[in-house]
Amino acid sequence: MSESVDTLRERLQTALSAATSGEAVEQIRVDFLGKKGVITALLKSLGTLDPEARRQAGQAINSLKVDAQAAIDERKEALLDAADGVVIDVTMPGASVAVGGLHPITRMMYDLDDAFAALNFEVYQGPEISTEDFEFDHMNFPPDHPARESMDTYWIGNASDNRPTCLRPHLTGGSVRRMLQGPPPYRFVYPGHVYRNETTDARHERAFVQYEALIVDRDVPFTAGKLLIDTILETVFGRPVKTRMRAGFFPFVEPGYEIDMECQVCGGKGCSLCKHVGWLEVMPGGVPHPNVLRAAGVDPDQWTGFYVNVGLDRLVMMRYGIDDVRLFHGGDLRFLRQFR
Amino acid sequence: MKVSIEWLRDYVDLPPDLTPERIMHDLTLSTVEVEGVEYPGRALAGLVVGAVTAVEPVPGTHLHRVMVDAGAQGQRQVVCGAANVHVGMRSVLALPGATIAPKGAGAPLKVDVVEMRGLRSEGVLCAADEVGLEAVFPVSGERGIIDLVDVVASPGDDLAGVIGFDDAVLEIDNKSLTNRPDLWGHVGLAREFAAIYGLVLKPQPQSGNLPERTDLLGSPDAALCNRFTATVFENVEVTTAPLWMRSRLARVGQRSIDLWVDLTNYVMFATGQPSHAYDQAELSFPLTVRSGRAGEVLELLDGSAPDVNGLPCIADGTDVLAAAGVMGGARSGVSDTTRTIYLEMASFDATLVRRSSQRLGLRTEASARFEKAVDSQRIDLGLAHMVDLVRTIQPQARVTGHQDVVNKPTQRTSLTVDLSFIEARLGKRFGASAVTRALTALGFDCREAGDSLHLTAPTWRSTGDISLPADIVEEVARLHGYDNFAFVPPRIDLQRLPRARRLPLDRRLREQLVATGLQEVFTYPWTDEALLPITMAPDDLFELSAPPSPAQRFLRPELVPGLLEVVARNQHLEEAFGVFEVGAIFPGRREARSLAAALIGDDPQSLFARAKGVLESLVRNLHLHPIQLRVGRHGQGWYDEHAVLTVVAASGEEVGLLGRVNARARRATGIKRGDVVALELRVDRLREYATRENRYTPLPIYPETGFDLTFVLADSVLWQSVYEALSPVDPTVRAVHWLGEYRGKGIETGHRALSLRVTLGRSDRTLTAEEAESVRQTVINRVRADFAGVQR
Ligand SMILES: [Zn+2]
Repeated sequence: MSESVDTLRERLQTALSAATSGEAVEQIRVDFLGKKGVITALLKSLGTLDPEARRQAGQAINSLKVDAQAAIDERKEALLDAADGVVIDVTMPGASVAVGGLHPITRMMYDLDDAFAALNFEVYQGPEISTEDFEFDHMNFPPDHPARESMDTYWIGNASDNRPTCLRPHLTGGSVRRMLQGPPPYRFVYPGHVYRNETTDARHERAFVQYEALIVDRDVPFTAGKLLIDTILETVFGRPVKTRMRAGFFPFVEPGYEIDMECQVCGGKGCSLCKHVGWLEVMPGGVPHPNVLRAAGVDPDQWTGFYVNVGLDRLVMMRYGIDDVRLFHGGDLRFLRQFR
Repeated sequence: MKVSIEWLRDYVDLPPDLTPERIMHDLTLSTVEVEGVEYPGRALAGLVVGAVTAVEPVPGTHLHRVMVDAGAQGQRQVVCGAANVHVGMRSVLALPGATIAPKGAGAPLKVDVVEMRGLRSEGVLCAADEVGLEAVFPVSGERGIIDLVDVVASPGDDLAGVIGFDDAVLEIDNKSLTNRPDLWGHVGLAREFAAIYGLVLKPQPQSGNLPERTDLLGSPDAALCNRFTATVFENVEVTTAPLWMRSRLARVGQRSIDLWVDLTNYVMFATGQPSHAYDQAELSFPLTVRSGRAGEVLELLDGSAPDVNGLPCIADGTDVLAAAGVMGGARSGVSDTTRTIYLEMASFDATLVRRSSQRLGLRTEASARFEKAVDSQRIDLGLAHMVDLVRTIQPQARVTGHQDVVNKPTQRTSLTVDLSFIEARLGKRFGASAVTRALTALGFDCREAGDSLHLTAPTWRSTGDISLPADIVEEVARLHGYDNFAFVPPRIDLQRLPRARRLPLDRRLREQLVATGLQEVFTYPWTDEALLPITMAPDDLFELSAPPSPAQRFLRPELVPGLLEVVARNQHLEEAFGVFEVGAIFPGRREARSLAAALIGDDPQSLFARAKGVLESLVRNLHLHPIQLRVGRHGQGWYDEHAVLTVVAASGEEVGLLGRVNARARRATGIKRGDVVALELRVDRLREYATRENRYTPLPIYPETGFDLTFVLADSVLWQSVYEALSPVDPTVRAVHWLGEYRGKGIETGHRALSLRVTLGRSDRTLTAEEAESVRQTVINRVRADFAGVQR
């Protein structure tokens, strides 16, 4: 009897291996487990045996029946899986996703906006057309200061305003506009395009983007300015950057600083980029000059502050290793798409 | 400006272990930016003093066989062509290995042992210009090798050490010196170092009493001249300045001319006070300072004669002698025959000197100093140095007359600063004694009164540099060292933000445009004149006085033309792409903010649909107030009048337009193939809802049903009218959707097959098939009746 069970088991395996369609497998199921199937017939034949032999044979046949059903189901699944096969060269390049991109300077600007938003700074935007009073008078440039007569401001010859009018040569003049909108304290950042009449080359452009941050409050020790500087540089470079402040002179700040950062190329050891001093001048900063605060209607005896102004073009160039500032306004998509 | 460390040591004892690099670092952090350190001696390596012991002509040539005693470097045979070589002279011997630049050789040359005319030559006797020393040893008359006449040295000594070139020279960024006129000389810098390092400034020379005269000067114009002194030196000789002086001048970049020119230069580099030496024999007294008159010119040494009408001039009874504070004229200059010197040392109005220098196109060491505002008392220091130097160098010379006219003496600035103010600004408490110590070193007088300090600035810091308590804060901080302050976080009162926190519209627009697949670009605010015909408002534009180029003198009235140029620049790379810009425009000489996008591709229909989708996504996703799109627009511009929508706000104000770019605009911007659709919106005319305006719509409980239909319609039937006709055709119509359109084979010309889907539903039950069919018939009838549309 048990020989029959083993034979059947083998015959089933052989038949299933040979079956290549669901129909063939179904036929096997009918042949073995159907009402007239061989296993069913075997079970029916048990009645002829004595009780002990019947018990042993019954166990063997039932086990065969369970295994047979499992083998048949598995073969059906395997045939369904095999039917789903496709051919893909998984080493082919990924298809490009048609998404747009921000200009790399805009991207950096927004990263900075977000960082300053976390410090509760608002974002201010001023006009690009400005006047001499905002760009120079309010900025504490003396009436005879050479910068006023310098040829690098784009003066407008036919403005209807009776004040000398220009494309703004720096952002700082606009900070007074913001301050004039309401009383202190102030915490705002101020990004935007500025324009200078320069001969262009890989390091000089006529249109560029500055980013300014200003805090005005009752007590702002100058070291608090480090917070503004570190916020900018850490956002740009993604890690803390060593900086130093040193004396610098600008009419609109007193005291004024030049802010240097450790050269990111040589790590401060000295290289050709940093002219072997290990430091790069990145931004001016300082305490708003009392005359600037006065021009903004703010009492300099009550309020003080700190301001920094950084050239975003230069920071973005350092961040990505870009070697030609003219690429920013060149509109070449091969360049612009590298910064998504 | 170049500063010699060796020269500085005349005025302050810098510790010997203080390296030039350390000095550079400290001065950069505390005062002004030092751009680098130069070692002038390094260029003189391998040059030694050589004594000529024998000279023999080489037959048949102009050459000499010269024996040179080079001390420890031995006796050397040198073949030399110089005419001035003679026994007993000491000259400069370049040893093998040294680098020199022989006349006519072009590139520098490495000296080697060579054979010449069968003679061994073991070095080169050098002319000044071969070793870069023409500033120290000016070539006069016939050129020859350097004759070290007045040098105390032994054969074999290193030349650099002998002539004082074993020095370190700081190169200071002039821009960072703009507000510190006191630092434009070695004495001023020495004072600064004394303050930084806590050293004592050595005593300065005193001129003593000079014999007064009253006929040297007239009445210098007080508007032009703050102070004028004239000093007469008699019994002088015009010789060559001593080597140490020539050497110092050369190291700071000044060529030696003659003793008296060198003296005035030397005193200027020492004290920052310019002066000018005249040959008294050429003058008619008295001298004065006045404005140049109509027709007056100043004859200069180079032969030019600029007009000085209206400029501050120094004049004698005859003529104009000098442009005050800028440059002296050719007449009355010092010459070999000069025996009496008339020295002018004066102080002029800073602004007038700057204007004069600009108008004349002459930037001189003197004008650079005067235009920074030099205090009138600086003359006392300069004169004392001058008298002291003349006494040493020309002991036979005598000061026989001196006259001093003071119009506007520099007043010392007085101010009161509270220690608590300094503490608030620096985040650190400084005691009165610490502040007093720092300021006293800088020349301030300090008087304590409780929390306050009454300060009087020295004259050299009183010409505009120091005027406010904040200036004192800076002095205290920089001398303490900015790096020595601990970080103090700013303490602020937390209060409501001045404006609701929300990303600015500019940013939300840009980010949405990026999400629709467009790339942001920057273009310039000025436009090319050639593009004005494709703008809508080409008149009344801002015009730059000095534009980047004559064709780019106007500021742009729109963004689209510039964007089309960007499209043209990229069309060789790709067939289909889109770009956008958000920026300032200036139509009608007013600044406005605008947004523009341009899409290029080959199918105008789908480009238009995509651009319209972009516009609709802005309104929807940025929660803008509704806009209307009106079909058509007429007039000049970049758009195709037959494929344009005018964007209008609810107020009726025109906000922008969306259109196919016409052929003329494509040609003008260089777009060679494909079709382009562009849109421009006035950002400043878009209105945002204060917050999201969305409202919840309940989801349908019962299944919706519907049907698709295709009609053949004349092109004059717009989708908009079909949509507006069908949407209210039955209360069960939930939506009418555009599926697509087809033109071409099987469709009559001037017509299209328009496919649409109508979705139906009820809120109380499921529609029956009969009800749906009834609506379908209604739709078909309606399209036939209203639009003569035939169902396909
Ligand atoms: Zn470096």
